[in-house]
Amino acid sequence: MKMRVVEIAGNLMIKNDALAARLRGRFAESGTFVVNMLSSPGSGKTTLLEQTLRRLSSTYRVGALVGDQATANDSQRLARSGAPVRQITTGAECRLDAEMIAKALEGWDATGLDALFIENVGNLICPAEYDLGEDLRVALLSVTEGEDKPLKYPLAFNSSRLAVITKSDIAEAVGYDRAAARRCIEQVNPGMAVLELSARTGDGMEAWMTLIAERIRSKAFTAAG
Amino acid sequence: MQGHAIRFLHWRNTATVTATLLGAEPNEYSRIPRINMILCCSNSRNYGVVARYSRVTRGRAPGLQSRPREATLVPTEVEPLHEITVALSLLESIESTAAEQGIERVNAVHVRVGALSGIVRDALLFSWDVATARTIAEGSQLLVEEVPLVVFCERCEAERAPHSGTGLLCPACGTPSAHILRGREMQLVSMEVPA
Ligand SMILES: Nc1nc2c(ncn2[C@@H]2O[C@H](COP(=O)(O)OP(=O)(O)OP(=O)(O)O)[C@@H](O)[C@H]2O)c(=O)[nH]1
Ligand SMILES: [Mg+2]
Ligand SMILES: [Zn+2]
Repeated sequence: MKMRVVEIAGNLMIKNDALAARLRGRFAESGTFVVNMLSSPGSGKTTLLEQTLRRLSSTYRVGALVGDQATANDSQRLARSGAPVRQITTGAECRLDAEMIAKALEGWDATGLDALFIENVGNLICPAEYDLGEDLRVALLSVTEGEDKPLKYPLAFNSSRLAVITKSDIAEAVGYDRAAARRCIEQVNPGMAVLELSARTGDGMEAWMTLIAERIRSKAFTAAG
Repeated sequence: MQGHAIRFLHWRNTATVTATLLGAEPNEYSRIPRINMILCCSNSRNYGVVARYSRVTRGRAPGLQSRPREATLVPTEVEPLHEITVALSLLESIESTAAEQGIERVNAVHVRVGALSGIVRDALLFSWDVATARTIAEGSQLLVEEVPLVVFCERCEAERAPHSGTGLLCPACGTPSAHILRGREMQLVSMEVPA
């Protein structure tokens, strides 16, 4: 059989990137600061978000989108903070993409928010590829999961601006090696900002809250200007 | 895989298996006489492969005539199976190009995959067969060109290929670099179709 070759100009990300750019434009106009949180399953995204929403909601209008493959547990946990929360059940998909964000925002005036937090699906591979139109991408790494995670998932840490080491309250008990973790992070993203905290005890939460609050204010300021 | 292709299957909770048949409505599930394969895909690290299989076989998808007893479990090292998602989006692009150009059959597909994309070649090949069953690309060959990671080392002022597992460290001088030149690719290049 005779064959012919059909060229396909196809970066698989083109569609997503275009949609993400549109979302970014929307949030720039409204001055909504958007955070995309990445981590392995169980690193503490929801726990950190619960605390964050609770602390911010007296001062700012904040909301969250939660991606989960199957359950609504996380969104229910977050909703207890009183902030508006929407669940995105991703089913077969192992990550959120810009289209899912756009859909989830339909009929919800998220542009009225000062900050929108997106909890991605617990997974360090796929979510790293997908721009969601966020201002800040955060990679979480708990003290229990191995200091060399960044080396195993370089893109997740390379594409994030901030690394948050979670569960610091049990660092000693699990023999967490701080220097090794920093070294591994440095190897995939030199100069990356690193915070260490425990959402459970509140230790180290101030630095995180300060950073977020500053970014919320500067985004609002830029939009207003 | 012969005949009845379940293109994707995942479970919703420990007791229930939910079949997600792409392009098929739940009420069409009942037309499936038998399940040949279960592709397990979960982001939960708590379940061992064996536990997963037994849970899956104990469960029952709504509308499915038979329990997937005879199914072969295809466990994946990568959790969740990233490659099935990639294979499905590849297929989507191919189907839309084919529809535009009136192409009815695809024999081979060329893709370029970077070392940092997290894609495992064998898993992608496997996913391709699963994803393309009953489509215009059924039985087609997926040709994967692997693109190694290359960074620009500021200190050496040169392109360098870091050793795997060392992040973005320059293999020559040991300086980490944040500047990735190649290795993030996830590209469709071309497809071969009957002339
Ligand atoms: N000791 C300790 N445990 C924590 C901390 N943060 C979270 N955990 C626990 O870690 C487990 C997972 O936390 P989650 O917040 O659900 O993690 P997640 O990243 O949202 O998980 P997925 O959404 O399933 O990926 C829970 O049992 C939490 O109680 C912490 O700061 N210290
Ligand atoms: Mg969670
Ligand atoms: Zn060098």
